[in-house]
Amino acid sequence: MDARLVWDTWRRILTDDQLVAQVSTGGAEGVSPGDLSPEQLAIIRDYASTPAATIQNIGMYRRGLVRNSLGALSLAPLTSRILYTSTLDPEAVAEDFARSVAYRDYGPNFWSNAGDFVAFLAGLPAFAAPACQDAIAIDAGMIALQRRLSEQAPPVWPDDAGPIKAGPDGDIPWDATRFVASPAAVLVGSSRDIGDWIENPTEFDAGEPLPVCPQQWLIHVPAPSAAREYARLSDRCARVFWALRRGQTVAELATGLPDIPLADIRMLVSSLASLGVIGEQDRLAPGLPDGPAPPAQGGPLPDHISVMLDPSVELLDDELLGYRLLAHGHFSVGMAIPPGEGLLAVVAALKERPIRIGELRARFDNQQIVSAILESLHRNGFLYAAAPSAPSQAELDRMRGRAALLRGSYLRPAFDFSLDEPDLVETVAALLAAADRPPDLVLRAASLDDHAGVLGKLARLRLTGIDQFHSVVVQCQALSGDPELCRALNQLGATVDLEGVDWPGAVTAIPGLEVTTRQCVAVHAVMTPDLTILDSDTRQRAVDWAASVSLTGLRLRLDPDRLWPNGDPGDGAFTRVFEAVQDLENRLGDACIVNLPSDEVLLGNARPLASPVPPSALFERFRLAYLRWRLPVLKGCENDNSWSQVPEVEGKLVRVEGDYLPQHPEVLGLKQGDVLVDVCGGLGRVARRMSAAVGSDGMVISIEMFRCIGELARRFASERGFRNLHFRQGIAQRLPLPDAVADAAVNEWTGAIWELGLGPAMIGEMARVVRPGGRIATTHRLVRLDLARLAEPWVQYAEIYNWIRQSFERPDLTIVAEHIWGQVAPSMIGENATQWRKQYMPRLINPHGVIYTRDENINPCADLYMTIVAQKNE
Amino acid sequence: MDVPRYGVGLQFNPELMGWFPFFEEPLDVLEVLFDSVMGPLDGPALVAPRSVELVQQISGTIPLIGHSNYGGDFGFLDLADTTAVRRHVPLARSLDVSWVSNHCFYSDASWSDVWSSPLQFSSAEAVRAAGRARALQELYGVPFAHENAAYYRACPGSDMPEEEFLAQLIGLSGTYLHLDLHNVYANEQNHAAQGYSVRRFLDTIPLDRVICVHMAGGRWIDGQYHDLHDTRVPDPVWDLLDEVLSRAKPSAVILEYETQALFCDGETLDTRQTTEMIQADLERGRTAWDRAYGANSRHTTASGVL
Repeated sequence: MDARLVWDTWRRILTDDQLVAQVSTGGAEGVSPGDLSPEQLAIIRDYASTPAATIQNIGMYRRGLVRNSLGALSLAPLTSRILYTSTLDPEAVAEDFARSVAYRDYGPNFWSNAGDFVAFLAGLPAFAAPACQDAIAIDAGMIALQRRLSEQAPPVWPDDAGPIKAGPDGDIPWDATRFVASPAAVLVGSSRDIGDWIENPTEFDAGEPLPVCPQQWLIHVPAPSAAREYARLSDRCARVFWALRRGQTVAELATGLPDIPLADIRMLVSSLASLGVIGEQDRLAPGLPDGPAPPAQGGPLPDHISVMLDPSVELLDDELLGYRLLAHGHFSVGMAIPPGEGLLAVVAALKERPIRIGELRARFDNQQIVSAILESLHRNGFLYAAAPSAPSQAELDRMRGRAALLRGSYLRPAFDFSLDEPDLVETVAALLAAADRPPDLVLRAASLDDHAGVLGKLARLRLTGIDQFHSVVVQCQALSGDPELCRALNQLGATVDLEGVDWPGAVTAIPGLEVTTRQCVAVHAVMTPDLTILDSDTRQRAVDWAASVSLTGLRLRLDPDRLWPNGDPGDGAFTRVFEAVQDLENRLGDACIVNLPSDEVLLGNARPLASPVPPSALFERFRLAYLRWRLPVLKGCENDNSWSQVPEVEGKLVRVEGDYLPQHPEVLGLKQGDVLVDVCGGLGRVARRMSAAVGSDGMVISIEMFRCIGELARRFASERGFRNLHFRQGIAQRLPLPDAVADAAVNEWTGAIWELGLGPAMIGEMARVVRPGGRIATTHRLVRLDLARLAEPWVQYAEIYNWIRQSFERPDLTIVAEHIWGQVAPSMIGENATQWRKQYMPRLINPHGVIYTRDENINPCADLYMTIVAQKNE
Repeated sequence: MDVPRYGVGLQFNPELMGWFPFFEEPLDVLEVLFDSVMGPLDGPALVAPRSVELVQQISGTIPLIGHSNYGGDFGFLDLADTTAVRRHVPLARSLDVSWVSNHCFYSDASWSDVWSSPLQFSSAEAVRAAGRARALQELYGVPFAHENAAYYRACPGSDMPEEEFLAQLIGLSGTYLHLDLHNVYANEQNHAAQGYSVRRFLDTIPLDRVICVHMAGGRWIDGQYHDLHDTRVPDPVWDLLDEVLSRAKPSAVILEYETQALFCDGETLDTRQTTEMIQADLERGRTAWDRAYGANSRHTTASGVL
């Protein structure tokens, strides 16, 4: 018998309840072949031939797992205390945990063991109290820090960092030094003040009621073998530390934190440096990448455990460009299976029943791809480590709970508050400081009247804070005409969802609406349509009304139990409603269903909605039908062209120094405080580059027709600290703004608009929204010149010049400039294709993890562009 | 490789920490369990923060030897990825141990499966294990010895007696033996019917390669004898020690206990009684050693270098 096979088989027995039962009976005949090879069967029969010794060994193994998990939990003192002072039997809980991870033996990976056990405990109802969750979160943060430090030790540990000597008499000039947070420290927030418990975990009384009192805790590991330390940070100190996720000088910090005096910032920097948790970037984190920390990884899954797909995962019939789609009914998220031999087979094998990873591997040749698939499915919550037999509902709930925790580590956080909540600003500030990426914020109020103050404070928080919101939605039933409030909403980057608007349009004027939209605040009407939504004329009435009052879009609340009171009308009826909503969106530019998972949820970027009441069975069928319908639509937004570059590489396509309008904002007559509309804004490159031209009091409103692209643009901007960019969904031929509210409008590089004949309508809309005297501009490439063959220029649209020129020849416009400019065309050779493809949905594996090795343009080429600028006549 | 000769010592077991008077005993040598002082494999620390002070306390005050339970030494992971290489080797250097011993079990980055997985006693495994042992000894830079296991059943596929396997392994690897006499005794209790023989074991293994001896106790539970380290060392094991000391020249005899409450004659002893019993065993060990090597032959009694 091959020793390796014996070892693997024994480990399989140890983790497989069915095999345990079989070898324990002593009857070798009781072993069923299943997927076992004859050699494995012989080994199992050998173990079965000594039942007493084998039972002894299995018992020893499983008791060892319990002992080791409880031992590892001692590394998480707060959670350990919670468990031991609860009414639960710690050993029984540890047994449940061992079963939930398919009897995995973590061995000396104590932190992983502690981390998974803590995550398991976090999902138990007994520990749902906020203070327990706070304490568990602090332990989880500490454990994640330890694991991160294991993977990459910091160049300098806090104990060796030493205090900084900055200032006129110090070694380090304040102005020239870029400070950064140490990777050996992490900030964790709590909703309660659990400082006494952190200091002395044995005093932890989980039953003690604590008032809401958000706190920030700095956890750091001073040296490789030193115990972690905790420090309570003031709000200001936490904000400084958090800002230093990226290297910044004190001056830059002061710009981002204008409410903290410069002298105080220096003091806070010195204070953090004395702990060694921040320091000079060159010493402390020379390789620290820009941008947010990468999402947590699920980690590789070992061969001996069994895995299974969530039973709610469905393989959709649709095929798009060779891709197939998975719909996860429980998490409401999709995943794309790229074309490729064997990929579907791996998924199918995982769908049948729990399967050992070792067994799965044996079926396929390319182990690297199998590993990548498992990792990807696991990370996205599609795959669980399971017991070898089908799980009970309770076990499935636990597995989903664990998957939700893993997903929670990379999904965008979301907060939901009433605007009337006491201490709202302080609570939001604390949560923002604790969030590891800009969150979504929903604020609710019956009426916006009387909330100018709190919205103003929140706006100042955004303007002065170190962090950003991804999005802010204010839900209300009545608007306010208060200009100050509108100004605060814009500074906050908020959009307004106005509840209770009649379908297909309000019969009477909505108070405050015109004042609000004229100040460029985005307003969506929330409507509850009936089945007349299926009627095209009714939909057009909705579009016409929305356009007449300059709404940004419609938010539809669809209740299937009211739409179909007689019961399930079938998927066909559901789909007709979804298609009607899509038609509304095509006509209006922005219409979506608010009580179904958003595109951001479906694409695995945001958390699904928490329903306050359990959904009805009909609603669940409605939701699943929506997943089946919407995921292919979203996948259809993707394609393989190379114009969707992420910000990190956008300078290659259009170099900053050569980009005409950002370099010459004067041709648009732009000044600080102006409103600029960026039509077909895409991933926001133009908006970001034009941001400085309008300053912090101005606005760049970027209009993009694809919601998923606009969300990416919003993410790129918020993660990079832009505060005057507003990303809205809309179409070029119906801009969601009132007349004459903008100072300028631009459109750059949108070939399809001209090709589809929509160019004149777009120019007309740009002219409409710009004030008299304001300017509009558009840029497009005219030709690409092969420098070795100048006689043979390549032309994408031969008519582009005439198209653009003729569109500008309108009575309300006067062309003031036609600039021809150019740059050497970039080569893609050596670039990672992933950064240049339009791919938004999580994929089973990444088919574009390749480097471009060839370019269609062998010779150096030059691109020639034309920017045409016109002024709106007075 | 030079192997210094120390005398009689105790395993520095976590179960004895905090109550047993290690530093009041005339211990000739202390056996450190690498796994109990090392930092988690998936964390940044080589030495666990809670063990830092302990390690400082023992370093330089008493000769240290290293013992490894869960290194994955003989498992199937690449050696470079094992706990042995990532934690035990640097610990051995940092603690300046005179030699290191491990167990003849399979494991990878695992703990709980170790004790049920004795090596397969086959020629192929002797060759494979010898290659890993030799490589590890080079990394340690000090003698590396392998402890014979106590097991409830042998590994499927074993086709030779354990002692022949060990002899073959040592012959190929150039490493050493760490002879656990209680394991030999326990195996004979459980496997005599299957042909296990202490006599043949001692006559077959290369006694000249034994550099260390483990002594411990255990109990019968439900018809099986268990190597629990929770009793005094039984008399037959002492007899075996006398025999080994008369036939071989080990460098240390290490006593192992894993409880604060030893079992004795069906009763559980309190801490004081347990302490006294361990001290009595230590004294019995020292007497046996001195009988074999002569007076003033131990680290704490020798006047000069041995």
